[in-house]
Amino acid sequence: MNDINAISVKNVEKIYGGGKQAVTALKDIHLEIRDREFFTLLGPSGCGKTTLLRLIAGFEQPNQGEILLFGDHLEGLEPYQRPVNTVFQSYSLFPHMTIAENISFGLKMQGKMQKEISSTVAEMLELVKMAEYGERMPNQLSGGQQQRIALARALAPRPKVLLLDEPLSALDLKLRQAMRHELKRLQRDTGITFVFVTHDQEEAMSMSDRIAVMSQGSIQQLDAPETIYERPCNEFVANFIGDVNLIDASVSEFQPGKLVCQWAGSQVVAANTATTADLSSENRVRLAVRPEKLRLVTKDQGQTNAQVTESMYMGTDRYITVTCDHGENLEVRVQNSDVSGEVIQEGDTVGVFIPELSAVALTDQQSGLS
Amino acid sequence: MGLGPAILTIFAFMVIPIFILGVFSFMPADPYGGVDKGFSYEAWVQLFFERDLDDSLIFDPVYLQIIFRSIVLAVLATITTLAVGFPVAWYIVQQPAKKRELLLFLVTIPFWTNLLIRAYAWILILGKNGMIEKPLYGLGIIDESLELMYGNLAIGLGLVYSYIPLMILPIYASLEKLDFGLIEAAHDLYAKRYSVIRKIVIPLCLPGIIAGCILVFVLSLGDFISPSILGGGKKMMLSNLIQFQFSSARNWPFGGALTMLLLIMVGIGSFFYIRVLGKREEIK
Repeated sequence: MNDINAISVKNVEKIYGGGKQAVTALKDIHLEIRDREFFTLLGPSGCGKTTLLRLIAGFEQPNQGEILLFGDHLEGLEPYQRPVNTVFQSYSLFPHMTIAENISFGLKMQGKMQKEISSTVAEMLELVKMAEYGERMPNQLSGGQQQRIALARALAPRPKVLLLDEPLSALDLKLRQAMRHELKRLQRDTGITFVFVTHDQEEAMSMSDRIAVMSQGSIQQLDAPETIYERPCNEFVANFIGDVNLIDASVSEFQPGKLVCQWAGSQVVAANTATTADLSSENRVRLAVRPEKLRLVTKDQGQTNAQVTESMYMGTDRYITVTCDHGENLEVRVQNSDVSGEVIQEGDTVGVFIPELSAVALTDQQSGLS
Repeated sequence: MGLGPAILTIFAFMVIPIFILGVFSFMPADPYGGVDKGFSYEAWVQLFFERDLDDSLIFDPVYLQIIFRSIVLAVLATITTLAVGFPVAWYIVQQPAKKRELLLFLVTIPFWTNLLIRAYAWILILGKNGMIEKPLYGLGIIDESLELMYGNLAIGLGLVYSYIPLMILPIYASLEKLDFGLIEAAHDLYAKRYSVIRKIVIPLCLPGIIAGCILVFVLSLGDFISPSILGGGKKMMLSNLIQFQFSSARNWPFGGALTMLLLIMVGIGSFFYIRVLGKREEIK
């Protein structure tokens, strides 16, 4: 393992246009991407994730701040001078060249020897399992095949970092799922750092070592997928990744990493990821609870009672909506593993139980975003 | 059926007259104009030979020279318009949409004035004591006329000037369709600007380049105004020669033969264009 980060983004700001029409695409971005990491920039469209990728590739220049690649400054370097390659959303294969010519393009431009080029091309075709397709033209391939060739072409010059700009978004669902495994395998086999841009949270969760969730030009949270899901830091992240119930509670006691709250007249112990100082001034707090963390128990056994207003059978799960006695609506997901035949029906009265530390206290800073 | 009237018009006013001219080229000439009855390939012989007093054929390159000059001038005009037109089209296509429209509009402005008037304007520029010579006299750089007018240079300039929009517009049209993502991809794969133009831009907008070349070449080859006004009739091109045969020379069969020859040369050019395009379509 290398001690130096593959990519360091320091204090980067990007503004498009000027004067009154100026749009801030990125503000004050700090980011460190480790060597050999599968790193994902996740966010809705317009959050700045693609802009950040284009800054690393060199298609755009930051207005402020700096980007380092393995400790080297990238400032002022043209895209063709940076040892990073990009897999584009629309593949951008050269339509007038064969598959082999497409893959060899970068190597030729680097001035590699013909012998080395042909062996690398063969190796790359093998790597993406397209060995027999070298002489075809791009338009003779299906979308999924073109995607593999785009990957092979970007990997052929052995970049220090591979940038992937929503590479799977044009594929259908089945293919997209298969390509996730493929991408993960390619990253493992080549040992190249991947920086992956997507708006698809499932894609991000399944492949990444770490995820940076972005919104409105800044990073909301940067963590491992599990942490992002289990311990979202704010409402935006909690909402963007998976489904969530947001409930308002009042704080009654601070404990290290814990927050004892009052909700619906009962006690809920929530996890506190923020520093206590952030919350100490407030006595109201917003808690996030994932639907699968909530338990439906017998009446009067939970923190509050509720009426089942909807029960949807989804196969592996049952999606249940309950209305609490104090009026709040909650989504609950119950796994379909019970074989007793007891089924929660619409109209039933049940108890709602929030287990200790299954709710997370959110910082209020960003809660205006959604 | 919708094409019926168009086909009928082309047939009646183009195919039939051309066919008639082709027939005329194989008939004897009437010295007062028009043709006599009968069959004769005299007109075609005249392209290459002159009849001596004793009726023996002597090789005479004078017409071939005119044909050759026409081809050379047309080729030079094509190369020059391409060399100037491609960068212009490339520049225009990279501008923001609004500026692009304005620039395209500027390219087409010369079409607003009659070609004849524009040709005369060139006389004012190139002619004796014209806009180029006068300041040079004044500065004492020259003390006799540069003789810019009435030669191949003036004809060539006239051709380039007249037809450059026809080079810029098709190239622009094909560049506009170009996926600029491919250019970024090439930059990303270590291609410098020059390599991107050579390996990506030119191959992909080849149909536009070829269309522009054919248009300029064909129209230059058959151009009448530039040689007759800027060439002063001293340096003939093919179309002047044809016009001469139907008017002063009253040799309609020879005019017909020359017309056929011009048609054949243009046909060969178009044939190659279609072949190259056809090959590209196969690839796609």
